[in-house]
Amino acid sequence: MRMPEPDNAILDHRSEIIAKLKSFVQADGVISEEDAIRAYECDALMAYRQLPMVVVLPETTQQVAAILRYCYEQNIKIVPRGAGTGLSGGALPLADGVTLGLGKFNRIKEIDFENRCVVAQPGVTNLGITQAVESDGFYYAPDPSSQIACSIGGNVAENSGGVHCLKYGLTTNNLLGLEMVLMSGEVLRIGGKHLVAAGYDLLGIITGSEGLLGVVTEVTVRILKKPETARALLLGFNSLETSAECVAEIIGKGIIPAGMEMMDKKSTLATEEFVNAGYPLDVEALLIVELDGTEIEVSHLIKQIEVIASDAGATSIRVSHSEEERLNFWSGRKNAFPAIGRISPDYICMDGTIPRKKLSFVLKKITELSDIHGLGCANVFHAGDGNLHPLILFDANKPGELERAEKFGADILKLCVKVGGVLTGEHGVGVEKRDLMGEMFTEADLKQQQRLKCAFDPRQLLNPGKVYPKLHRCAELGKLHVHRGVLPFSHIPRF
Amino acid sequence: MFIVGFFLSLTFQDFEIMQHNLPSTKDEVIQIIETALKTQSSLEVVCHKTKRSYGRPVDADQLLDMKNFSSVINYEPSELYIQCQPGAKVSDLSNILDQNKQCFAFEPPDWGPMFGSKAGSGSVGALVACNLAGSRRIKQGATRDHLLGFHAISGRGEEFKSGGTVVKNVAGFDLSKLMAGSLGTLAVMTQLTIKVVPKPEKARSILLYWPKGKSSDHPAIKVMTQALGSNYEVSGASHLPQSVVHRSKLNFVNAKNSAITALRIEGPEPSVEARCTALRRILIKFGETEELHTSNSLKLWKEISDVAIFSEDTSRPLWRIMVPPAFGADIGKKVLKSMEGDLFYDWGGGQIWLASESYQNAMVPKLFEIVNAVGGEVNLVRGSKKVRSEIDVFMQKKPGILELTRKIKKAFDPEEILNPGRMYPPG
Ligand SMILES: Cc1cc2nc3c(=O)[nH]c(=O)nc-3n(C[C@H](O)[C@H](O)[C@H](O)COP(=O)(O)OP(=O)(O)OC[C@H]3O[C@@H](n4cnc5c(N)ncnc54)[C@H](O)[C@@H]3O)c2cc1C
Ligand SMILES: Cc1cc2nc3c(=O)[nH]c(=O)nc-3n(C[C@H](O)[C@H](O)[C@H](O)COP(=O)(O)OP(=O)(O)OC[C@H]3O[C@@H](n4cnc5c(N)ncnc54)[C@H](O)[C@@H]3O)c2cc1C
Repeated sequence: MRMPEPDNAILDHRSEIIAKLKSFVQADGVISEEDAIRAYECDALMAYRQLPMVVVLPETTQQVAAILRYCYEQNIKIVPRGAGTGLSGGALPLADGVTLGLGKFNRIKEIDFENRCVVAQPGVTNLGITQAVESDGFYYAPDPSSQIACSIGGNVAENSGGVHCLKYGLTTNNLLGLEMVLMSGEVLRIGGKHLVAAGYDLLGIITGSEGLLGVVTEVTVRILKKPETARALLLGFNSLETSAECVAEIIGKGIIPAGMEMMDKKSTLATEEFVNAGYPLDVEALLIVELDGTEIEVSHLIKQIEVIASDAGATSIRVSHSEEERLNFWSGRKNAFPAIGRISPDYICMDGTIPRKKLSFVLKKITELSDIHGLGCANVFHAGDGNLHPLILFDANKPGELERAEKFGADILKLCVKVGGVLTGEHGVGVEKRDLMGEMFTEADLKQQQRLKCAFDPRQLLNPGKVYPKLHRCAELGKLHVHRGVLPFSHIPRF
Repeated sequence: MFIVGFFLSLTFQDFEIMQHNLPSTKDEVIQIIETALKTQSSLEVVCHKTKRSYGRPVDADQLLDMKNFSSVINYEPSELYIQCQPGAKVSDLSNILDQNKQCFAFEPPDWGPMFGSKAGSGSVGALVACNLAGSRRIKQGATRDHLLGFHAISGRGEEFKSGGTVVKNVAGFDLSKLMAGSLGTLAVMTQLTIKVVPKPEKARSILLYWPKGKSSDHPAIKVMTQALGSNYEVSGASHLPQSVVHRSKLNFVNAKNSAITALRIEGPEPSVEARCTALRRILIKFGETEELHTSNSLKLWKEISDVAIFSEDTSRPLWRIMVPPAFGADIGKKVLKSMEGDLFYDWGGGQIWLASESYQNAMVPKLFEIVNAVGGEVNLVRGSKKVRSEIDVFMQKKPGILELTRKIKKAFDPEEILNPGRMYPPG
């Protein structure tokens, strides 16, 4: 992975920079010894590692602003970092960059039940928000599988989703306001507890910007009352096709479940071995469908889905009758990644989205690609919204396997784009998919996105080398070439 | 070749003759923009012109009229999206969706009549450009939450796209969010992909009639807060004070001449019945209640979302105030103390529609101050051209935000040729 060339002029001043950073934060807030900074060398995409020049852990917005202002003036690159659970290398350090960790921003600042929102610092975990309000029966809806560890700031940066986003939306649909610091050190507050109506949608553009536009120092998110009840169906199918048809049929009948997850045979077997969820083992595809709401609504919809599933040819249909049973249905799916980790020395998790109707076609192609590359692949997906997570199995100790796995992964993502889908559904581009952006976007598309980046960070010091395959200088991007072209009419003055 | 003509257009106060560009293909749009760049002329981007009087008046040399971009490109009910050109009418799209028992979840309001235009004539391009949303905003979001992707021509005369047709998509910056609500100041959209959802099987609304006499705004906000903080999935929460109920065309609303709080429940029939009964049990403590069935319910929420209550007299300035919902009644009260007019609440108190009796520049700072104190925002949605060019229609943004806004504008439209001044004063 080619990263921006480290700047020796910066590296030569490392000790001076460290001393300066120490003047901004408390003594334990700057980490520079090699042993200690090793903890920051990668995120959850562990194939790529790089020691940062130094790690700084500020505690207040003013400290973040001071650090950024200083780095801006000195042309020092910054890599924001939440909990480091990102799967695309978004928080991968730069050799000449300061990794700015937000772990100390771990306070819930305000719980406002009347306005149904929580104001939190970005280092609070996703689950931490729900835990802060659940005694009053509320929760924060987006629930990435990593929710015990990932930070809400990281969720904003990645626009994270979870199994329940089919019904409740992604991070972007649940964010009301934020405070952020621009690379220049300027602090901005956007939105609040009200629903923003006018002006450019800065909240929307910052969500999913992977730490390239600003450092988020506070978030205000919407909370919801917990549904009265939730129940799940566990549906087995003897082919992926029939399972995909069942998904289409449920949506076609006008039902949007709270979540709809699918696993192929390999994932089912691996997770059953790992957690003993009681999954049927003679099926080619397993579908978990969750309904939530009032008792009456849930049982009404479950009856409908039972009929749909049996018409679609489900070979086994189980309905949860207790909370314990429901959680048991989920236990396998929620542990799919560690379970795969047990059957293969290494794996990489891909993350493309495809139109639902292409599901069985794409899965067939993935099986073919698996043969071509000579590597196994287990599939789990958010079937309701067509977001695939193929897990490519390999052994990094075997020469060449990592490279083959990456090629296989790239082929899968290209396939997703080819059938009308996208490169990444929720894990972000980071460094992992950076060089594949050209599969989805033209040069003009990418340049226009980068011009937006220039509006926020003209020196391109925030997380450079991520998301965009080519770094263009802002001055270059801003140039306007007015083309030749005949004038069909001359200028007519207004009167 | 696209049509270039001279065209007489009637705006609120004056007649104007502007060069009228009427392209039918994206190449023609590119050519028009390139020409504008060369000749240093600016373009006012319009479609069916129903919301032309929303925002600051644009001072442009020519019109760029997108109404010929009117086709539906692709509608895949099972994939839950519709792809169309920006000139397609929202009402036509809604009919198409309806035939498949689908709809736009964000309940696109029809603002046309509010500005004196014909009902049902608004374009989907304008819907996106204004980032509109109806009463369901509190549960389902606004247009920005449902625009999955778009193609556009920037003020540089370059075609670009963003997003796609799927909901889960984090590849690159989410420019769809930026395009929604940008009022045509960044780029000219040529193609849009919007998420659709199954239509709720049933809708029921519960009306609570407040005892006559003293203001019910505060208790009403409390009731809505309780309902929205419940797990009954309320999809509409509005309060109409006594002073406005006579403006409603619905018998259920205007007959009793008392303030009304309306709550909406949608979903499968048995669930709707059960939730309604539960909510009614809460409401009955405060006054008499009534239930509206699907057809009446649709009429009520259309009236509220379209702000039809204030459509009659288009000369009255109309303000839209967004605040943290629980503070709605406080703000409403303060506002009416400093400004004569009528108001009603939507979004559980989070959106206040205020029709003021008259307009005086002096009132504006006071209004901004009241709203600023709770961290909200005010827009002057309807006002004379003169007023709209004199005040900050979208409320003075903080300096940092304003500066960023200008930089974003330049990133897409460096010469500021698209809708100059529509959002903020130019310069
Ligand atoms: C086991 C496992 C399961 C997962 N499941 C899901 C899932 O179901 N859904 C899903 O969407 N994701 C999932 N993820 C991915 C990951 O958890 C999310 O992307 C998460 O949001 C990252 O949060 P983080 O705090 O760990 O961010 P980091 O990894 O630390 O950073 C991610 C990116 O955000 C930027 N960033 C972090 N904090 C800030 C800030 N305050 N301001 C500006 N930029 C910032 C970083 O620069 C980086 O680009 C999973 C990961 C793992 C390991
Ligand atoms: C006796 C009677 C009372 C009515 N009361 C109301 C009312 O309070 N509010 C209102 O908005 N309209 C009321 N209506 C009018 C009627 O509901 C509407 O005219 C409408 O056409 C029904 O269609 P819908 O799509 O709105 O109803 P939907 O919401 O689709 O409901 C249709 C279902 O509800 C049943 N239903 C309809 N109205 C009632 C009722 N009042 N009591 C019990 N079941 C009913 C129907 O038989 C049918 O099963 C009433 C009609 C009658 C005959």
